[in-house]
Amino acid sequence: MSTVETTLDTTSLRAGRSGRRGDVVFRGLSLGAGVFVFVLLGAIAVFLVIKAIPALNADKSSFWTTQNWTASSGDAMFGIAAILFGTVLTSLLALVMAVPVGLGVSLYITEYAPQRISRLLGYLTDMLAAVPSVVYGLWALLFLLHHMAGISEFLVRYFGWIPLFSNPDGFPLVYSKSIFAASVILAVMTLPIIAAISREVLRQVDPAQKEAALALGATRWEMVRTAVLPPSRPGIISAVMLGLGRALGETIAVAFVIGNRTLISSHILLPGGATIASNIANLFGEADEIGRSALIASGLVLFLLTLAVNLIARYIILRSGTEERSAV
Amino acid sequence: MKVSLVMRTAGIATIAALGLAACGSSSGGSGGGGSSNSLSPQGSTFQQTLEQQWATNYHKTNSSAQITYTGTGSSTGIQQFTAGKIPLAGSDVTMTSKEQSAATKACGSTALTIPITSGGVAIMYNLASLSRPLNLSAATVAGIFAGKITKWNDSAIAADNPGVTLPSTPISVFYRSDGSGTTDVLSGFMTATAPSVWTLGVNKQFTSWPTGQGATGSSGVAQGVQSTPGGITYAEITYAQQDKLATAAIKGTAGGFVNISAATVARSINSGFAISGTGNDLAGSLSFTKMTGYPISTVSYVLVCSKYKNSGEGTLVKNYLTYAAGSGQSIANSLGFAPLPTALDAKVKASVASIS
Amino acid sequence: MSSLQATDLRQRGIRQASLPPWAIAATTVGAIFLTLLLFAVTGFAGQADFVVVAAVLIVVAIGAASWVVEGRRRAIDRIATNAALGALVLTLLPLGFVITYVVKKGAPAFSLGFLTHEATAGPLAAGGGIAPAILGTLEQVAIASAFAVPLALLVAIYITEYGGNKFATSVRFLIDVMTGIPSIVAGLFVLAFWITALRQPLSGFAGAMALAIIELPIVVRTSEEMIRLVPNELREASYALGIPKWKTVVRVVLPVASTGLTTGVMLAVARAIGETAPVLLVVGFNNYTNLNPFGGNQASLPGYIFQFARSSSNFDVQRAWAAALALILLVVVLYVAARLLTRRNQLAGR
Repeated sequence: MSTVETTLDTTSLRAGRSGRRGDVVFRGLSLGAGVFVFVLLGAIAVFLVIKAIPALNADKSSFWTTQNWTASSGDAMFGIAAILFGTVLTSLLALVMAVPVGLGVSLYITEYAPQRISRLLGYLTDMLAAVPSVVYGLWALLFLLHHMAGISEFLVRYFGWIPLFSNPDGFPLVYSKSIFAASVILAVMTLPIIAAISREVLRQVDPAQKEAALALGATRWEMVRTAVLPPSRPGIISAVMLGLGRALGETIAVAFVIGNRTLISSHILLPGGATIASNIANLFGEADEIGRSALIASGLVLFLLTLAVNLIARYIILRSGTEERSAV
Repeated sequence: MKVSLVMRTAGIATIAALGLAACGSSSGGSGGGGSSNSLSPQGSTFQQTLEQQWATNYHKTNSSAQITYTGTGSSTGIQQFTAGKIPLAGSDVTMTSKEQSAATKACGSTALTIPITSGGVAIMYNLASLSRPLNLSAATVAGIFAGKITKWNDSAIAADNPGVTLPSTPISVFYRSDGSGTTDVLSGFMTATAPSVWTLGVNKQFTSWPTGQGATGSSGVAQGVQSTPGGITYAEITYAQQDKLATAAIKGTAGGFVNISAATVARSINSGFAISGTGNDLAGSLSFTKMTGYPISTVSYVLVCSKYKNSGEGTLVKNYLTYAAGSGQSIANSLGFAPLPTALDAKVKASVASIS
Repeated sequence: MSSLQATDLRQRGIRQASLPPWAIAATTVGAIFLTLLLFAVTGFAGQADFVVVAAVLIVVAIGAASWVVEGRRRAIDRIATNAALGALVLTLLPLGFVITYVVKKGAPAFSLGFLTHEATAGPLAAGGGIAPAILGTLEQVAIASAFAVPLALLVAIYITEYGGNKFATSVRFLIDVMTGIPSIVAGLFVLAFWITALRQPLSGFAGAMALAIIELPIVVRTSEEMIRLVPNELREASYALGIPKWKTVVRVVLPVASTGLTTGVMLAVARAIGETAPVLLVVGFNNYTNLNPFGGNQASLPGYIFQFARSSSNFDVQRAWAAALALILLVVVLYVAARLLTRRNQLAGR
């Protein structure tokens, strides 16, 4: 780590009275930033609640259990069940695909790749993040959907006994806007986030630890397992959580490739599915006041979902016994 | 110590925010446009290509005028217009009385609804090797979109197409998952002509369509049909041309099987559109059962103020719409729209001339 | 490090049997042969399937061979190495597909003139350009980042360096929740707050605020992780020299974390620059150049792509793909510039 050798011009940095004052100002500034974020998010939350109330009052069916989404001032029968299901399932499937690959690629870049090309490979994986979501959506619609037919048929043929992959009515899967298609595009979109952050985290692992493991006769994989992964776990969980955030909230790309049907179905390969964000994107343009309010209510649910997911993640981090990190 | 810090930073933040807000309000407030020769109407996606072409042509003859139409959806257009954010909106539907009074309040004068173009919603499908284009009667169309007819060789389709060998391919319906004027028109047509088959009523969006899969935008549904043998959908005719899809001849209540074209759409508007507004307000209603031409036809409106607070803005809106309702109508055909029928066009021109 | 690895391997080579290169080649060929057999006998079909099945079989076969010859530990190591390599391939594959597709679709309409003209062609003709969209996007993202990045860095510093209290924990938690706000909800918030309540017109600035809300949690979350990873010894050494805390943070902690911080900022900028929904909602669109962030509708690249890609005019669709290509190139240019800048800073720090 070259940075350890950073030479500091200590005379200019040494604390005088000005340094103490600087400390107070700096502390105040960063505290102010914290307060601002607190206020901003509070404002967003309050805004969501206030805007959601009219629709929730007008809803003639049970908000939590109804699958259908009909929301206008004339006819308000809507519920979160189907789009919440779709949101959770697509994000979960996306993570199942993206986390191992993202972690694998960052391990390859930091631990396996020759030093000379490792940096280049890092840049290349970051390029996946450079593709805007609207382009991902169009690409998935015009290219990916056609090329998914083979994989879908394969899954149906050999794994059709798993309810998730079954195709009971023999629906032709030539072009199927499905939960699976949305999960794949979400996996591609969350991959660079997970890969980039876990790469930076893995890179910061103390080389002395790794060398010690190798010196003890560990294979490279054993070194990774014992010296690299454990100290990186909180950072990797952070990376996954950020990726999950993107998957949960992705709007345009999902709206392009999902079947946009507010109906719960476990057949992820068949046309159908909808997520909270795709539902908002689809219906917002032609929604009236109650319609908009209902969509905002669904946004509020997404907010609560993220809250719940982060609580769980925090619990996992705490239980894995790495909280000493936060004692910094 | 801690508290005073919080107070101090909060104070700084408030001052900064106030400064920003003040800065924003001093330069803003011109009602959606930077200067009086720029105009940013929005609304109906149905009109979008035509409005873009009109804006382009208008700019060629009036190089100082910068007009940009954005297709954000009719409801969004109405909301922006009634909130006074935009001086001109495009809409496939008329305003409710509540919206009308909000718009009039925002304008400071009566808000007018003026038909500006018309068009048909084409039924396009992907079936290779048919001896001639399909004929579909209203009840068959409704049966297909309601999921009651599921195979292309269904007896109802065969009855509409004597002598045509139909494949047994399953029908894959593609519908608009985003709110859309085309959905509104098709569901209106099916509700009016085959109410016993299509029972979901009229709406701009259906999130649980009885069959098929949803796609975003007309390009999305057309893409879906192009990629799926046996697919069928509804969209503006230009998307059928773009994706080289066949369109069906449709039989409504008042005519025979009619192909979609500018002439047949105009015939339907002549017979099926009745103005219900008074004076210069040309809001009207469609009765699909009376349409003698292509029976899934509709008009699309612009929403304007009769008298603008900013006279420069009023002049620009008036001049632009004068062009659109006049020589602008001649390019409608090349973009898949139908020029307004002559009788209606005269009223539209008079209404536009009254804007100030 | 590499010399260490070499000695490590050599020693093991002496100590125990290892798979020679010819054995690996033979196993690979065998696995491919087995795949061919599978495709001939069973219902497997398709070129892509073949590559996937062959790859899996090769990894398994080498692992098995290694297990027999070299023992369990080396076998697992080989499988892990191959799996990591496989992950790399799986990452680069979609990247290759997306980029090739966008280049193929976008190249016909892409030219210097396309980058420098206003969108004045209309759906019936080729031509026109995206200059207003490029300028609009750059301006919106620059304003958004000017708000979000310093604010986010301060928040991250507060959480990591001054944290430990209840307030810091709750701020951090709120940031976590904020990562899940769909971009369109951020747009709705700005619409309700800035445009409806404060009666402002649609403007680039309104869009920038929505984008700042999207950028903020990404930058905070990544910066927080990167700052946490700075070894505590560095801070202690700095304090021991009598350097005040704020200078320690600014001159020691942040420079050490700079590569990671840049990654975070770039992730945020890349995300914000491609956002469509909030931008169309609160900025609108404009065919013409409007540089005033407070004065009415502005163009943006994602807005341009979203609108034109869905048009029934093939000219529009072609222009949309060319704009997509331009947007990706723009992000790449920003990315490379940011990387070069941090590298220079690091060198200067040395």
